[in-house]
Amino acid sequence: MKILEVNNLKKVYTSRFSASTTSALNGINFTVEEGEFVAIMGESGSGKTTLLNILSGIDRPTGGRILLKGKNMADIKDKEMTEFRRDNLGFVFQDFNLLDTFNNRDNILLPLVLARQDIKAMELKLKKVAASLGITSLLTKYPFEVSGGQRQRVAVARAIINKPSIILADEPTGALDSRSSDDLLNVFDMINHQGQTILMVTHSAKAASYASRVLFIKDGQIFHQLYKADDSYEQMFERISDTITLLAKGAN
Amino acid sequence: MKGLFYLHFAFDNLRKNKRIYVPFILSSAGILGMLYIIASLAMNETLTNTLYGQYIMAFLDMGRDLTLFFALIFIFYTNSFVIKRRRSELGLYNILGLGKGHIIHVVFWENMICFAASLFIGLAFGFIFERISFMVLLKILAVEVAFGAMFSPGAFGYTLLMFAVLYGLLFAYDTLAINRSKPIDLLNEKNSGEKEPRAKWLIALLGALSLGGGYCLAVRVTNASEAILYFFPAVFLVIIGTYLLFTAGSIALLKILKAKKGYYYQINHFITVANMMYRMKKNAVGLASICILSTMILVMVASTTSLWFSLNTTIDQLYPSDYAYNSFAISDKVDDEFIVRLNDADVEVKNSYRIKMLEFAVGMKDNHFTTNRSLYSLDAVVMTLVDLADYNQLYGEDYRLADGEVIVFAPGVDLDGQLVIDDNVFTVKKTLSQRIDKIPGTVNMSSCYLQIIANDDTFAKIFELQDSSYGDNASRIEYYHGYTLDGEDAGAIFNDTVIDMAAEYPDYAFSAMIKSQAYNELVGLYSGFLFLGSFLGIVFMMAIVSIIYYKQISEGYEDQNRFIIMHKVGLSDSEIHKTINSQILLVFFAPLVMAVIHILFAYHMIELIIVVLSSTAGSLMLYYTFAISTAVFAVIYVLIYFVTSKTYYRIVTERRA
Repeated sequence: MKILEVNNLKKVYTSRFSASTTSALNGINFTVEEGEFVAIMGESGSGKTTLLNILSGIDRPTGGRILLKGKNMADIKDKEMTEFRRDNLGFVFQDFNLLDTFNNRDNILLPLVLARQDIKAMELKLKKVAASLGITSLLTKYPFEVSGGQRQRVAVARAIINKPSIILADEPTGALDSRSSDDLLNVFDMINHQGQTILMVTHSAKAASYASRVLFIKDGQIFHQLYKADDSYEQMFERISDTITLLAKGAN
Repeated sequence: MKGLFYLHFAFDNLRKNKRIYVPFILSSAGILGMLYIIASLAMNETLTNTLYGQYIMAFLDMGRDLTLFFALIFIFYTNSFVIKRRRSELGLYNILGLGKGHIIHVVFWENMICFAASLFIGLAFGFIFERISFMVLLKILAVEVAFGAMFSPGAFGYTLLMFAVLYGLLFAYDTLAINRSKPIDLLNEKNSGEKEPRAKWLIALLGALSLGGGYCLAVRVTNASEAILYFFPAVFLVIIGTYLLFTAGSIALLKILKAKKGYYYQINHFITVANMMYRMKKNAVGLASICILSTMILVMVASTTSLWFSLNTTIDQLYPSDYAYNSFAISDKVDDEFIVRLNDADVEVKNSYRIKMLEFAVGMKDNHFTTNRSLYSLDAVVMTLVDLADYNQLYGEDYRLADGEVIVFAPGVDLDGQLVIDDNVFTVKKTLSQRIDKIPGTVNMSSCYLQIIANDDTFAKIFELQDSSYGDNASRIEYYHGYTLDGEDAGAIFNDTVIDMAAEYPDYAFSAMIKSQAYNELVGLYSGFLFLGSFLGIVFMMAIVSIIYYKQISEGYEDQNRFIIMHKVGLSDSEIHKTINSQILLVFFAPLVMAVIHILFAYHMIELIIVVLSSTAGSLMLYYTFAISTAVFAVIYVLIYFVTSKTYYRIVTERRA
């Protein structure tokens, strides 16, 4: 089943004071199947962030359409968008975005509280998620008291506790050292195997090699895509690196 | 050249931080203007030469010193906000290669610019409003004086000097703060989280006890001497209690709320409770200060206006007739001679009366009275004895009393048909519902006073009773002579006549009581109170405005990031709006509510004190002045809240994508 369907997506920025326009996305087409782990790669300025913002519902496209579980996101009014995002999307950010006024437990519970769930149900879900991510002992601590890798796990727990249709991860390993990065990617791998659909934007070939499919964006268009199929991580890593080199050469 | 560079740099910094510096300069200018105004009034010769000059000058001097003291605290307080906000910026300059000496150089110019700007604006404000406040003061005093040139070089010099010293201290403080700071700490500061504040139960309990103690003292006083004696201890306890409760109690309360899962994990409470915990840690002191300042404003304004409005009633109670004298002896011959002398001086006596009375202090326990009490002891009550025949004649009554029988006016005491003084029992034949208003009312420390009408025999007996008990300190029988006069300069002539007669008849011990003279003295006293009360009220109000403003912006900057995250995680704009509102409401209305509670508890005590200063009339007014000033204050407070919370909301939402 298709979770996400992106058709001919366009985004043009018009400067307020001049007639010049900048085209960030020039007709992006791709789909994400349920249970897929898709990575999107591209250099700075390739349109990755714009794409992710539009998928997140923070920004609106100038053309094309996005179907999430068959629902056209253009039909969702601004007022309903927050609720829609809350119910269907989970976010993992580069800089964690945990609240320093809450301990880890409350940070994870935040989406459930916002969704007005019952405390008993919340605690049940929390227990399960925390156990599967191995962060049960961190729950009473505050974000600043734990390491970056642990913080990102808490953030992942917050993203998945609501069982979103898709997780949008924006450079999730960007602020982590290599060991913590590996840990996190294993976590992604694990939750993906449990059936969670993930869409991850990244710079890192290493991170992308965990994905089942990698899309390369260049100048606002899908330039190439790789399927992992039965490759090992190492083989996938090789192929991704080659593609990146190819992309860079093509730029010249 | 180099100096010019620093000046330019400093200017740029101020402009970039105008959200912080504009209010700083304005509040500094405001308090400078207020200081100039009161200094100028205190040096004003026109005022010194008015009828009440002495009183007013004393009040103005006191007001000037208080304003100066307050300016010191106030400017340092606002400065601490400013320096805190700018620490990371200054740390960045340090890292980019500006030495600490250079930074201090820049800060020096920044301070100079602030000083110059507040001096300029403050004096402009001062010039405009000194004229107005002078007119207001004269209006209160009901004096007509021709205005001279208003600018006061003396006050200008004083204000300039004091603020130069103040800014010097400020610069020294900033220098010290910069010297002690390490740039790396400054850069890291933002990212380090902080632990949830611990609930300090013991301190919270101590705060509750202190506040309760203060309230108890205030409520349990029964008379004015107690009220005056315990006023400052009660104020002290309440202030301590307020600070402790705001700092420790608030956090303890939030902890309790947080522990209640059913309550805490609800969308409306979740974020508010967690954020409040951090807010209270940082802002409790500021909020407690707002609460105390608000209470002070209300007490000052309400009590001084009630005094002012009760002026005429008070005077009428204390001086039943326009002109009067007391004597210890009487004879018709001397009375006649008095009138003849007045007539000779072209003063017509329109009306006169005489009343025999005796005033002495007794101790009161339940409804038993004992002699041998000084007027200053805590349970003292003033007893005023009035002669039956004089009363009947004056009031056109025909009461008859047997020996040992009395008529009383005794508000607030349940005598149960008997008046017991020491072991002597007198039968109360009748209880009056109206005060005997043709004898001077007493200003006294007690919450009640007694007026007793007795026939010659009983009068003599009670006199004997206190005479033997008090010995040398016993009161003497007095004769009050009330006059209504008509004629030019009647007051002066009356006064002279009393003095002449007193010299000629030393045994009579004449003493004059002229209503208009007393009126003038009271006007001086009360208007001094009123002016000072309102003036300090305005100064405190300015402090409250700037504390609230700085709280809003500093909290806004702190919360900015949190709200960006919450927005990303899925909090809608309307929910953010709601959360912010409930937080700000809690934070800013807690001090107001607390201040009103303080007032409610203090009311009884203040009422008793007002009675001393103005007889009972003032305490009747107090109810209204409190109600009105609280209402007005609340409206102003709400306005401040709305204006400043807009700034907060703008800061919190401005960096969002």
